[in-house]
Amino acid sequence: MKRFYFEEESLQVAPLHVPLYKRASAQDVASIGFGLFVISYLVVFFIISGTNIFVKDPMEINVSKMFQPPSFEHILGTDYLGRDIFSRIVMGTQAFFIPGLLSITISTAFGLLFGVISGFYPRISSKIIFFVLNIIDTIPRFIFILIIIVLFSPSIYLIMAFVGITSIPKITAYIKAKVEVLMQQRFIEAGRALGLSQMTIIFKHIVWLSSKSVLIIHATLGMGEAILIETALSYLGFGVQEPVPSWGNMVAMGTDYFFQGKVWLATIPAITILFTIMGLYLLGDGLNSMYNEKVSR
Amino acid sequence: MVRALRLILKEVFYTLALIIGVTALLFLFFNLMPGDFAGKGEGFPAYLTLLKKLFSFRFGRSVVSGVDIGSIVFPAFRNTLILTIGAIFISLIIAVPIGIFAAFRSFRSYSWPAMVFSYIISSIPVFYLGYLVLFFVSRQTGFLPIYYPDSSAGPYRFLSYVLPIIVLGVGNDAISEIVRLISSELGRVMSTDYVIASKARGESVLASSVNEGIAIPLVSIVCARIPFLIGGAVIIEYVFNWPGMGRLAFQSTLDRDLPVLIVITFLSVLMVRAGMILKEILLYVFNPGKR
Amino acid sequence: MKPIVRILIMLCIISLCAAGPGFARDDDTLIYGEYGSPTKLVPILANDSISIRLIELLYGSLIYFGVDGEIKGDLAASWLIAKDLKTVTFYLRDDVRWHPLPNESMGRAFVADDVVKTFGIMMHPKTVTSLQSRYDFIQSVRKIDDKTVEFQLKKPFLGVLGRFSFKILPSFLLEEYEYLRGDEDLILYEQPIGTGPYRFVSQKGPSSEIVLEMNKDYHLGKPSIQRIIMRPFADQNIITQTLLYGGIDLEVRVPPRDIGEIQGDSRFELNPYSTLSYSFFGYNLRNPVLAIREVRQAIAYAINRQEMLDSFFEGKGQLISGPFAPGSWAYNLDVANIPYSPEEANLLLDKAGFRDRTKDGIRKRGSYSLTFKMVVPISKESETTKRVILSFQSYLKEVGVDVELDWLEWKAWTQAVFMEHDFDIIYADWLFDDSFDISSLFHSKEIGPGKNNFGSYRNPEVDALLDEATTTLDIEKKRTIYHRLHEILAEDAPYTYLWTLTNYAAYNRRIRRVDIHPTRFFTYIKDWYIQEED
Repeated sequence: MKRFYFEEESLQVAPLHVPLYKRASAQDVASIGFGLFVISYLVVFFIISGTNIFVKDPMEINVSKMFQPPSFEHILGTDYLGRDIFSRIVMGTQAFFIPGLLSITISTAFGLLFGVISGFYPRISSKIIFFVLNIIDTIPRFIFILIIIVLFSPSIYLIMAFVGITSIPKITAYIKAKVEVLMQQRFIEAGRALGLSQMTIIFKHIVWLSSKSVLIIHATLGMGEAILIETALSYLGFGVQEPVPSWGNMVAMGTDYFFQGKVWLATIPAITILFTIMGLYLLGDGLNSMYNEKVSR
Repeated sequence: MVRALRLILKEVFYTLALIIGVTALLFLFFNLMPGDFAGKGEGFPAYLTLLKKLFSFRFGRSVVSGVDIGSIVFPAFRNTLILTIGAIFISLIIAVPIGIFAAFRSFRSYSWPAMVFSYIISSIPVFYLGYLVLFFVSRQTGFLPIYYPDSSAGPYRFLSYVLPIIVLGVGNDAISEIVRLISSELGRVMSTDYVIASKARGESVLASSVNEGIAIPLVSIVCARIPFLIGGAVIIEYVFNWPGMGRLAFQSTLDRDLPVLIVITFLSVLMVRAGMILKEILLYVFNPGKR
Repeated sequence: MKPIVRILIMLCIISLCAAGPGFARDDDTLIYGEYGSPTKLVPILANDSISIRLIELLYGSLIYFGVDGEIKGDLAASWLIAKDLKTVTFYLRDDVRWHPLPNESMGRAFVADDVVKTFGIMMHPKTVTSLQSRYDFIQSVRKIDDKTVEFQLKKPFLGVLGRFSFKILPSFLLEEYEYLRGDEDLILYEQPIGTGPYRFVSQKGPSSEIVLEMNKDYHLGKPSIQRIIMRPFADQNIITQTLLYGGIDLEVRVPPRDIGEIQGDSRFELNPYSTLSYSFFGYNLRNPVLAIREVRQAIAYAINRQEMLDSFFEGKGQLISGPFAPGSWAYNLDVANIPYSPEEANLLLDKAGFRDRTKDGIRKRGSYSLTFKMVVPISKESETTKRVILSFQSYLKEVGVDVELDWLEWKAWTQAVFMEHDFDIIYADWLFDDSFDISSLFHSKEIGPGKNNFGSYRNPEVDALLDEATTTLDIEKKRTIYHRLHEILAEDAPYTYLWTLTNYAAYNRRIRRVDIHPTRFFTYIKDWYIQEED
């Protein structure tokens, strides 16, 4: 694949002649490994929750068996209605997986779009775009989400769509800054050497190069953020509603019994959240540093 | 001189436009909300009256409690600021050293656990962390460190201030964001020609890169967190019973108290604009190259 | 983390505990915790429990009910009911003073104008309150002299004296107002002025605590406790913890899950009090399937109420068989509770014609299937609600009935249930006063947007009985009528009647002589006192 000659100076892209596996340091391998492990269990859970084999019915209420500690029959115990916690954790992946994807898709797609447009046309469209984005940015995020819930319904897809929308300003600003930097570096050269008809190629390259790190980082961060926001909303009573299980509403339910000593009800889903988000972050970090790391001195 | 005046005028105009945009949006949303409540379905004239009240700083009364809005919002604002400014401070204290540490490649193998640690902390749901802290501290000291406005807090008043701030500062995803930003920016800056050259001259790498590598990203991240200053502490305000803005805004939305909500967003806009202006000033100060 | 660091942190925390658990508190202050905040501290306009409890401390009324249930005079020294039972005259006390305004040193005297003004505002159609219907048996009120007020009734009324427990507002602050909507520039909204045992001192914002100070000139005797502070909480779990760790002295309503924790602690006392309320599942009879009586009755047989009461509420309550609270004079003990019997439920549903099943096992008849939409309000504190509702869903699934849950934000919920009637089932509770007037729930004229007969229940016999009950003067007759109503409403089952819960208040043992009024809570506050620690 042809690359422009001036890339190496200004960007931190490792030269292609160094194979991928040598570029990775030990930490990167560990990060990516952990991240992949997390992704794999997520995917497995997701698939299982769709087909219902291997697990008990997560909705089965058994009033006589409430609050049981982990046992052979219920691997992680039972909750406040006698439902099996492990199956609910497995099924909980459904609650954030697709909504989370929705959130990051919206925020990265629109963020890229607006960022590139405002980077290329900093005068007019940039001002308009940023004005609208500033309005979105100014309203505190939780209040915005609450207003949306009140206006429409507490559908988690809707909520995540708006979480995505509220993340657009940040990405747009970041992309715009990157685009501006890139444009300064190559616009002159490109204009001189290649002529305006190459505008589209420059366009594609600028977009691609500026968005690479954002895509990786933001995809993973965005999923983590989606989980945490849903969890916070569940604590306040909104978020995914019963009887659909989500890790957030399980932690929220557990806090009602936390001080009385039934600590595991809240802790188990909290640890699951912890592992998942960590896995996502480390995956993103590892991939990012591997692709974008400058060759060591 | 004229140029500066023009700049100020432009900023003021932009702020006004922003205020109108935000308040109009809120007004629109409110009139669409379900339920029967005071002020619903009122049209454009009501909106103008609202704007007039805002700009004259005589905010009127809460629709729900009949109490003067200023006496509701400003104390709440002050309370939230205590939490959020303290939290940002804590986040910075913890995150910046880790970020610097991580940027110095030679310490990579030591800094990585620190980074992982910062990720762990940032991934715990905030209210769970709050409950955990309350659980342990109350069982150990016999005191529940939530907000007590009067002297019933006794000798533990300090704890009841400090703990919510620490929990908010730690559990907020701010730490991992700052660590990531600092380590990448600083790392990038440290490998620029400017810094390498100064290193060759024998100057400290850190000192020469600090301006661009640390101060600037810090400024931009702190200024980007200004909306957080207003609404970001909602969860902590619930758990630790702080009478703050987040709780107020939440409750006002559920109660359909539009005047209070409008005032809160008005303040929010002012703060954000002030923050942006501050950011411009600070960037100018920290950026000798661009002068 | 290194052990030395851990030790250092522990030392820091321990060093902050000077004298071990607990700490010195001002012994003359009662701090109590509520989940939520009051809306307004003005009678007539405020109708939520938290505001009502505070209003009970701040304001007075003509009469009140003593601990033993007998009527006692508060602002009225004595009264006279005319022989035709259509005129009630109150002779007001002359030692009552309003709380002083912030810039005054002594309050004004309480006079008859206050009563007249209060009544006028209360009954004005533009005042935002639902109290007008409760007092429309009163024709007029007039002031005879500064200390005498006379009420004219439209017709003779049984037990009318007990109705005069509404709170009185100060006329001197309301001179320009004929009605109140809640957004006026009224000093009363910021500084409540009443004639009650406690005066308002301060409130720094809606989530801040409210401080009340003892009214030294209280006409019924100076209260013992010097100050009362109401602390609002946003998190229900934190309230109980604050009680246990000394942040508050009294928790007004302990959630069932925390009762065990407090019971085991000898420093605290649990005081049960029953409110005149009950929980139920309500049905929308506009749905043709729910209009079939057998279907509603089947639902009642399908659920195990005792199991729910025992498991979710620690058994602290009583199952009910009809629309009254047990222990009230209206309750008909001869009507039996519906037992838990899925077999009977299945029989009834078969009888109603829902014999076929869809492929998911839901019963159907022709094109109608037993699928219902239950609307539930979203709230932060909904632990018991969720348990009841989900169990309900589960029990009904077993007899082939499908319940879909639709979660709505609170105001959207009231809109759907009371205005648009867009629901099939709800789970709710009603709170009554001592008159137990259920006519607004089941009378056919109360069907319509904003009215309480949300299910559109219609039964001419019930209408006739309800009308008769409001007019009759014979108390035995009234009891008979209510017992008959209980029978019919149990048979017709427009609701599935669940239970009346026993509420528990928990407080630090240093507070003594705690008597609690079932609906207003603090009525007997002046007799409470704080025992010095020995």
